[in-house]
Amino acid sequence: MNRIATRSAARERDVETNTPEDSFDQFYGRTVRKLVAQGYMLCGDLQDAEDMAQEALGRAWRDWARVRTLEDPAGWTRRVLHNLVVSRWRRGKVRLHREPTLAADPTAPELDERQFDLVKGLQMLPVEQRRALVLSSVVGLAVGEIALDMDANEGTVRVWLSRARKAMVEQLADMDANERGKGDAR
Amino acid sequence: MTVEQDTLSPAEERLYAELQGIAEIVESDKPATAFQPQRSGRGDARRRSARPFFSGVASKAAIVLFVGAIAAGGTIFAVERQAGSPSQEATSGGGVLLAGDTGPCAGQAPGCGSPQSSASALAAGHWTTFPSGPLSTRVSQVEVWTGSELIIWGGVGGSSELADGAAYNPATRTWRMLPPSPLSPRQNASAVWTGSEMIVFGGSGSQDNSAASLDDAAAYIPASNRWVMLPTAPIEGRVSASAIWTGRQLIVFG
Repeated sequence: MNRIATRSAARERDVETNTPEDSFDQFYGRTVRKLVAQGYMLCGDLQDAEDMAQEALGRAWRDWARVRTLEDPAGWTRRVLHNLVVSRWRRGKVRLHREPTLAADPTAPELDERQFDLVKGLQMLPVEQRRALVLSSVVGLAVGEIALDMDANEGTVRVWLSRARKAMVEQLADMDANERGKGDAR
Repeated sequence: MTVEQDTLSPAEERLYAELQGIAEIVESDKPATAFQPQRSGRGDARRRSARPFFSGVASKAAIVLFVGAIAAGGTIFAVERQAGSPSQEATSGGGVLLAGDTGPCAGQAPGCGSPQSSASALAAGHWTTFPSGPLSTRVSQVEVWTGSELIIWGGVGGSSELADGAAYNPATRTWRMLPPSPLSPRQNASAVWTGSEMIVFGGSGSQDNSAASLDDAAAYIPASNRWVMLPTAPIEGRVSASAIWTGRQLIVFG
């Protein structure tokens, strides 16, 4: 409750004291890399993630007079981003047969091999499970909030999360075993 | 964010920590202002101008130059492959796409869709509804403006890619179907208008019950109302690639 009250007060101050351009610039600075990171984990490609983050922020700007007064403009923009990822994925617009960009690619994030493998593992999950897991682990939303975000009921979200965690924990265990095997071989 | 989290096992907590670590690395990978929107535009123009279009792409993208022209009766095409410098690529590609990406000038020659003709004209203009067309409902099609007609081709409707197209003439408010295309059904192809032909390249289609990126191309010539196949590109197939017509060459990028 306090969190919501604080956010509302911040929104009111923003509307009262900042021009739309300044307000959006501040919002952009706070939000853009978080959106890119979430997009990357959802689609496994940094450039697609940047494009979709840019699209989501472009939509926020076009409707900024309204969006800036919402309780959670970042949440609104995040939902736009996630819906873009899902709809592009379903339409095949996100590149087909993708694998997360390799570390040798200069445009890829500075991740190590294990982290790339994890991102690759995320792409193997059904898109709803992937989205629920990113919302839970990276954004830090609780089950009820994820349900609202994804327009699903809480029971369904729990199932998605359970399956996603199980698959990813199994992958982590496999990766650990492989790394131990490499260590033993040396 | 402080939220009530459902209980995690130690293995799941470790998973969450690793995922959070990845997100933090990606978040800190570039400064937040790396592709911040410019103030000069609104809407799509603002979004499109917001990011250096070729940032990070040039080093890995293949550039294909289709050099030559298609005469009404021939299909003469010399194809060469060249890796240009990032600055050359940006010079040849950035502005045209940014200026006309959302309008009928998409992929057209410089001049079409200039800031004067797009922003102010659109601001002072009004919308009218097209008469219903002969094509089925679709998304991810290609479209070009010829100067007199809007040509729409391909795309995906329901769960199937499409290979039909039609042209709409605003002066007469009429549609006409295009002749059957030599290209297989596809979506998210790239298309440009050369001044006399619409060139369609790449896209994705179904092959052997799985999606595949396509590398073939064809040109539709309104003057003779026919299609001609073009040589297969010397790059692998690609989906939603950027394409521009320079007046002499088709450049496919990314």
